[in-house]
Amino acid sequence: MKKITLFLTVLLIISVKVSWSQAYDFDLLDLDGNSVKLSEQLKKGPVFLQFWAIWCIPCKEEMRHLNELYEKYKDSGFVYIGISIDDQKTVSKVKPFIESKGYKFTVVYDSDKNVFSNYGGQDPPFSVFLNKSGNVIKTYSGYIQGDDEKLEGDIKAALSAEKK
Amino acid sequence: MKIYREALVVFLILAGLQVYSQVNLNVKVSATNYLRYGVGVQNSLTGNTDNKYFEELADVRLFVNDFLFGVRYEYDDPIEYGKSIKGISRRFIEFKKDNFNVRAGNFFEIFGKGLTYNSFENRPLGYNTQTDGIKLNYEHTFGKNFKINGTLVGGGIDYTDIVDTSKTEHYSIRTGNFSVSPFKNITFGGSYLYTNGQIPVQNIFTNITAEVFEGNLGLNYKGIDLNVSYANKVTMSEANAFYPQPKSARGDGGYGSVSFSKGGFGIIVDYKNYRFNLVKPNERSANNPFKPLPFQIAPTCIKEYGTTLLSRFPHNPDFGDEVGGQVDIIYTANDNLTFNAYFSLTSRHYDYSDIDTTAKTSYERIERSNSWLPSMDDALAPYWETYFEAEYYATKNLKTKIGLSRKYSVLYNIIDPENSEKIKTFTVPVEMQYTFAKKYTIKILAEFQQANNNLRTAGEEDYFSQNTTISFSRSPDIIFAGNFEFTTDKEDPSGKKFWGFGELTYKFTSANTLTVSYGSERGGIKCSSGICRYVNPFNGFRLTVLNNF
Repeated sequence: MKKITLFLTVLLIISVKVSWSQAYDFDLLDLDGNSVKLSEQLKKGPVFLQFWAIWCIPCKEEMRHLNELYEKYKDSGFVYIGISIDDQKTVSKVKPFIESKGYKFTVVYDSDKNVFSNYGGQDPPFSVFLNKSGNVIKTYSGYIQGDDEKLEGDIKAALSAEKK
Repeated sequence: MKIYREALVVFLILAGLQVYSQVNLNVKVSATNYLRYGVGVQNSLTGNTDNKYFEELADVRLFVNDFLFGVRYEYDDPIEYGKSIKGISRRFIEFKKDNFNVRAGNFFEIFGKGLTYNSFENRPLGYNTQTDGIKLNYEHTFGKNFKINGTLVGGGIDYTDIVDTSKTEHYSIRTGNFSVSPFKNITFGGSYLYTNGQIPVQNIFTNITAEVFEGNLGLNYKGIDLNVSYANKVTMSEANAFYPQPKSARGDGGYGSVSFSKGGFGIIVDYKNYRFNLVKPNERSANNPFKPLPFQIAPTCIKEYGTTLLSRFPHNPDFGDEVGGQVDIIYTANDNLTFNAYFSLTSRHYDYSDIDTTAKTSYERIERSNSWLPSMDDALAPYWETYFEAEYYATKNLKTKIGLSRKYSVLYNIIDPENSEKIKTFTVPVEMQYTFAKKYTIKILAEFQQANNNLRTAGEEDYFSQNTTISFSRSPDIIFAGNFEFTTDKEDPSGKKFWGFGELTYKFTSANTLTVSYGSERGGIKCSSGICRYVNPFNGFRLTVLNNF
């Protein structure tokens, strides 16, 4: 009986399939109050999450370039989500800023910074690039002018990997 | 007996197979490490004192299917700002499934605009109102647009005073929040908070209980967004050596914002009216039991800047007694040209007069019919600022920016109004950024500031400061920056007139960064999210390492 118990215990342990493949799913509201769920966005293609704030100057520099890349690759399945971590102090400025710039990518609010914190963010700009399966391809901390070229390479690589 | 044993074996194998088909563990581990070290001296008018700090923060998060486990280990020897913690400073377990979320342990949360409950951490300022307890959240959508959302929180908050880290206030809170969105464009809701608190004054605690009720409404139609919140707070204090009689006090606060955007144009108008502790001048104190709770941090309606001199001379908000607002306008003329115009005005609600004719003071409020509006009268300690900025991309690689800022603030001295401190500043920031060969960038940011402080020695009221940062970067891994600041101010707390430091940032990978700096930095008051504190001048070496795994 002991052997059987041991055998079944081993069977139970090896039967637990472990896969290192889970992005932290979230459900946040966009600028118009619509719910945006990460798992739904991942069905479209690789997702680039950029955590930013209205007072963060390099975030807005990066956003300008990311918007260009989004316009270029959105038809290929590239998804760009700007996650505003503005708190009660500056959150009212987010929508007018995005709309006055004419940006068309999705922007959501993470005012309590829980999603930011769960992805390991310390200071913005902080970005996470996920493939369609939800795996984290790359994490980006900070932004240096000219990084957009490297980002474009990462987007192309992610899109071509999805096609294979 | 044997048949039972065989049957058991078959059952267990089947059960094992069942388990095999059902238990799929999706496991993910992520970690962040943040190390800060500094050694140098702190300059002051009376001399230099040694200044050294070492801080290590390690966060580990383990994701297992619908569960998230998190731990933060903290060590300092000593800490630069705030309360020293050596050991586990954060731990939690979270379960998230569909529309239900529960978290036990440490967390941060904000209800609405923060008038009731806004628990957050601002480490550079040493401010932390982390909650330790349990949080439940549930949301549900009926049909296409009808949504409900509710959150319940129970736990404790230990808030340590930023200036005196030996003083810790303890709060036990029970709070809840709900919102209903019957249509896509309308959301209304409310929140309630009950707390028992202990506020230390020397070796005596003042025990309080407080209740806060809040209601809010949000409208969203085409380019227009409207948000209003109103909160009412009732506080009761028990008798002790400082307050011989139990006492109760009521306070309230309101916040509203309306924004409109269309085409390249956006405008935001914010209004605040905080009367959570409208008391006589001699009763304003960090120990006042009826003060706003440390986790009641509402919108400040004050602009936050990203450059040094524009951030200097900030306004220190008082959520107990403050009325005002701001207007922020953004106009994007085309892809390359953007304008920003800004104005804000804040003041206290009332002036007070001393009605006691003896040496004692007894203040009486001077009524003002339009106390719902801010005033520029010096007796109401006004703060106002205007700012204009133009940003222009001459080419894709050449960016220029220029701003103009005017600020005026009064620290009113009711005992001797002639000795009220009035500070006026005029600041011009100029920025140029040029990128060449796709990955090299040179950036120059220069700020020029003319300041006037009426309390300075006669003839020295006007002084000038200039701050210049020149940086060179190579994407994606190196930034080198030099910062130089000069002032003609003869009464700077550091006793210096020139500061300069160099900083090198190297990115090993896209998410692993090392920064070293050496030189002298000018101190001053720094504010963020309504929390202000004096940051000491520093002269020495700093090292910061940030790793994301």
